[in-house]
Amino acid sequence: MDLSLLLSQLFNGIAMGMLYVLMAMGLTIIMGTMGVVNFSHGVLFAFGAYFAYLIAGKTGFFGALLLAPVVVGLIGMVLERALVARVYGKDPLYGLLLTFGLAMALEEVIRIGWGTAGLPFSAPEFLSSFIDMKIMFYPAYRLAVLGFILLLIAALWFFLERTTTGKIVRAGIQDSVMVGILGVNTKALFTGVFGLGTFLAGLAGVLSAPMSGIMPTMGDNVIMPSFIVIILGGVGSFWGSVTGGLMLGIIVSMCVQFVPAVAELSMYLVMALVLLVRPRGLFGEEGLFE
Amino acid sequence: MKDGKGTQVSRRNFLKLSGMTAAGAAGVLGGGLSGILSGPREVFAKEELKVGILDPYSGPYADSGREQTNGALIAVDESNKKGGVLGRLVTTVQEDDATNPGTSVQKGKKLIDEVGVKYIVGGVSSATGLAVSALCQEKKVIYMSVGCHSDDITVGDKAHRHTFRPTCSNTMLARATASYIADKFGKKWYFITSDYSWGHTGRDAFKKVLAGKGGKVAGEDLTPLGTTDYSSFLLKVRNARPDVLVVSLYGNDLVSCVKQFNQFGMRKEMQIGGPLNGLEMARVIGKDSNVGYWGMPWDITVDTKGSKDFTGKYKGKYGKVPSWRAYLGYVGMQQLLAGIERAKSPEVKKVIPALEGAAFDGLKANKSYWREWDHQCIQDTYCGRAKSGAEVKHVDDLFEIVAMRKGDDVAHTRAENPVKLEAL
Repeated sequence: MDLSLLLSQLFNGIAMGMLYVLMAMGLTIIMGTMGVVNFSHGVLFAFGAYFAYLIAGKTGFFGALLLAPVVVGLIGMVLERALVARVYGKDPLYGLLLTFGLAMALEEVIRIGWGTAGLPFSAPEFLSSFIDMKIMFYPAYRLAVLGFILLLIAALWFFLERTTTGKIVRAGIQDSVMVGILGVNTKALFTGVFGLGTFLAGLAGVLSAPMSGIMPTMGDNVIMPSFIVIILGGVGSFWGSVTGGLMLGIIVSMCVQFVPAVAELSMYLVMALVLLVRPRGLFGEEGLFE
Repeated sequence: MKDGKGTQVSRRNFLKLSGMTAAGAAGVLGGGLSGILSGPREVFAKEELKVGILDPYSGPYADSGREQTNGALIAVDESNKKGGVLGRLVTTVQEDDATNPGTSVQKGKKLIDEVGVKYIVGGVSSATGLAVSALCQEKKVIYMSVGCHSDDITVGDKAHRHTFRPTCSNTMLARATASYIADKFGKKWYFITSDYSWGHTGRDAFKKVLAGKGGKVAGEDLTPLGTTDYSSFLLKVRNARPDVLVVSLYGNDLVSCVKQFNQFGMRKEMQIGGPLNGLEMARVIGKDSNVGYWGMPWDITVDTKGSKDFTGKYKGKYGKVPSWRAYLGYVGMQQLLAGIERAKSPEVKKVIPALEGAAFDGLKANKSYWREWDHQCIQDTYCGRAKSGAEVKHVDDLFEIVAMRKGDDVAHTRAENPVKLEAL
């Protein structure tokens, strides 16, 4: 076995996993705080890419990277106020049905607005080269995405651990009823959390657009792995999402290398194994989403 | 005040009512009069000829499905402009197969059992095509499997008497494309293949050509339909150092793979190609990443009067140039209607023999024809080179035909295809 190939697969797995981390973070704070399993996360990911396409035409890639996720976050907040807020405290099935239906409706909106065909989208010129990493040449864009997400995770961690607002969000994940009793405006908290979660989905969409192209169904293929990441890591857990995402990326790329026949299946197998040993996921805490 | 309001309402109601009565009376009178004066008109005397169109409008191949339907509708327009088929106007009922075999059968049954169509035109994914083909054989309905390329549609025991294939088989595409690639770029190939019937037969046809030339398989992987990240696969490919990467992928999968092939800088290291590519995908891949040698059933650059006319008509109706999917939809529908006309009857039992063996102008340099014993449309088959960068002069200038093979030279021979179609 060629060591450099093994290392490059390992590295690529980490880079792939990072995108799942971003998706899973958004999902997990929504799930942890409001108890809503947001199935429309995938289509909001696609919205991020489509808005990036729209904005990049006027401002270039970085304008799109800055603005598109904000637009998606705002859409998320409107959706939360108008629809999702109505299912809080009800059977989780209601939220599931609502967001699932929302996902289908929003995908149709994409088809009506931008057509069924995909759209071309490229990374900025200076990121379309390769970096010599000794073990391999790696696309500069993918490296930049990896670095960017690492920074973002650090920023998120700082926000959640070191700021007052972040502490309220974390407290909300632990017990939103108690947070409300303590005098926090939970209505605003919920809208903000939903906005933050969908902002992250939009951001992931912008980042992956240059890699895979933009199409109406692009969210379908990331939503399942993102849920698996949460289940692996444990609902509501920050480091759980990071670990789960990395595990998934590495396992899938290693399977592609050694046992390609189970590459697709591997993520489900790992999920089943983890659930057997730790039913709440690796970092899951008692009492959350139960 | 109260009274005043009441009067107002009743007056408005009165006006409404009287208006309606007048319109109704005029309608009855007018209808009766015109009936008496002109007698029953031809169009009303003969029922319209209904054709089912079953293409994907959602799922990974949605865009190709829309193109095919658009092309088919051009043929319907042409026919109706000339007064229809057997004096009957042609109408279509469109259903979305969602690129899903289960849905395609369900929608096919709906078209046959509820709408009552005797002919179905359409299909992009071979997985749906094979399912609809089996259904139509069972229900005795003609199926023009417009754009399904898996060999199985016309080869072996899944081929059926009621199914005709307007497009090339994978083997035809591979023989036109693979031999060109092998001679030009080397004989060590790596295969990335979509894991279903179309992908498999595409890969096998390429492998067969490669073996015939004494080439070597450097490695191969199967990927599920809907894969978006090919990076791990591409790392493997690069490590195997093949001369050519053969990708039997289509739609969004092909777009992602070719884009990432570029991003990993592999176009400097090897050539890429496969059984199919086309305008819908090349536009999304983008002109900078558009690369490789691909099988194509048709292209806007085919230099015949027929093709130019078709392109003009399509542009006139839809405001963009047709992809080869649109061409296939056109040929499929146009041939079905021609068959009905020749049979002088809409009866399925008479239309099938009227199609079998018939030659026609398929808008290509050489005539196309329906081969009697397997219902394959034998036609010129092309290998296209994807253009990129500065050589792309406008948005549709994305392919150049570099090789053309006559249908009979690339299609399965009788000895190669053990098919035995059912009796009528």
